Amino acid sequence: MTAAIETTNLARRFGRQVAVDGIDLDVPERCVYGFLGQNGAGKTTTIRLLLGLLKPTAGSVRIFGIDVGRRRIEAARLIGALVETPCHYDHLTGRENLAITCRLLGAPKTEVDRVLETVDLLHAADRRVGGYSLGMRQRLGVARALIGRPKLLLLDEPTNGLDPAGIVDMRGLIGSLPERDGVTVFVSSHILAEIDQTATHVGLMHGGRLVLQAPVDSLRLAQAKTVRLKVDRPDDTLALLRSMDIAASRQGTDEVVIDPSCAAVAASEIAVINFLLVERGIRVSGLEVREPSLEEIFIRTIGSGFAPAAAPPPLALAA
Amino acid sequence: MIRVIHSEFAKLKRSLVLLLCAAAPTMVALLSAVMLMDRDKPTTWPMFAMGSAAMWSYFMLPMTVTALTILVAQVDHGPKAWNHLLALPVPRWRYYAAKALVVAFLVAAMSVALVVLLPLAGYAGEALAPGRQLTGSFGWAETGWLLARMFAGSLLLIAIQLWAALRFRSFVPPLVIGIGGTFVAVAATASKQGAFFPWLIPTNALASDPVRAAMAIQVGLYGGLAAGLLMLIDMARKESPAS
Repeated sequence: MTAAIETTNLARRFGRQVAVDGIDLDVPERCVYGFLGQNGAGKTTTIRLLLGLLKPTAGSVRIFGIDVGRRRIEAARLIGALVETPCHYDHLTGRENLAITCRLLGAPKTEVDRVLETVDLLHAADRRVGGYSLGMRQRLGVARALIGRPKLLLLDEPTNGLDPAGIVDMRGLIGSLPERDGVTVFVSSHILAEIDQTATHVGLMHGGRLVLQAPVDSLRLAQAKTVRLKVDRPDDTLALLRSMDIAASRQGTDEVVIDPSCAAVAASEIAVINFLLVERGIRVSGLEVREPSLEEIFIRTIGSGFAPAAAPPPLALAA
Repeated sequence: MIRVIHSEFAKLKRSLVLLLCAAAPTMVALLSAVMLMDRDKPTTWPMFAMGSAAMWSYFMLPMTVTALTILVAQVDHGPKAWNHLLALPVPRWRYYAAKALVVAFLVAAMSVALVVLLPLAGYAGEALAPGRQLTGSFGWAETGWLLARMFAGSLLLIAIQLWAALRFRSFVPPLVIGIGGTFVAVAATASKQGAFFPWLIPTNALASDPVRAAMAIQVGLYGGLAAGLLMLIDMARKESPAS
């Protein structure tokens, strides 16, 4: 099957600064690809390269097998994009803004209402965009990217400015597109928790390099699970685990966490640990085996530095 | 290409561009009427039309082209719409060509509006200041032809101003070029080289020497087409239109 996006040794410099350093993206069709990285990691530059807005210093980009450098127009017909902050004509209404894109794409006028409905913006369609909240502008930007039913959707930080309900809606929309419309969604973000809940594949940018790329499922399988024990005698529990060559640490007054960096603890071993604890008179009131979140996986890969998962998004003004 | 031109016009809806296009010829007509009312000596319709056309070409046309090209470019510079536009499956040069055609169309429309407004201004001046009668009759064909030649001569000015307006995200450089050009034109009016100075070429349509007038108009027309082509080549090659 042809990849939706395939880059080979893609690089871009701005003077001496290397923004993107020889990355090999491989985005399968009909997936949600979470493109992660801290601010300044090279995500937006990569998206601009994928769209042909920037010319690569080296390497190439293929969209569904079409070389963007040589056949940009042909490739662009397959793409809908939201790059950085959505930019609209403030003196025009939402509907008029979309009609301009519709006309440029040669798409039928009915597309305007369809995409407005998809992003739940029909009620404000005839208001001037100058009066829209940040969240509404963001949704209008996504609506614009959906015009013409593109096969590939490139969304750069699409939840910026959305209120919590809007974020949930956006996640739902992004997650539903591959199955509903056969769309491949390439979504960039610096908030890991956001991608954690929607992406089937992830790529992690760091310092202009793609340091990790894999399906989320296989990534999680390859990582050790965290085992958390709630006991009445944590010190005795730690001693027992050490005697079994299992690294662990105490957390709080009654919790012991088995170090995920130590060899993966098999399910049978967990049962044995539980049996031994009970046999020694240690009361176990909780035992949790948890898969690592993307945040934990990535922090293990590149160290800390991502936006906190719990950071509340800025609230959008009332529509 | 038609779709791109259509979208350029759609962007101008409710913008200041249309107000500018209405105001510029109206102001020339109003000023012509006021000057007629203030005039001591009797004059003719042809002289009245020529005086008004001179006012248009000498000052109002260059300044209006400056403002118009800035407004048309800022429609996309302002909201940074280029990221979106240039990612669409539309050849880049078409956006710039469409803008050039729209500006040229609007300048032509203003010229036509001026032809229509001038007799109204003359009649208004006569009515408001009895005794300031214009003799003869208004020459529709002559005035139309004069303003058409001025329009043709302004194409080089339009190309230069639009190029500057598209090339820079800030409106200041094209504004400085426009004001500077108009200012220099005042000083260069009588010079021989004035026939080649873009901001003065339209005024040369009024030159008493028909050879000079024809040459100036040709420089403006063909120079404008050449400069427009160069603009398309330059802008289409850029990753981002504005710096």
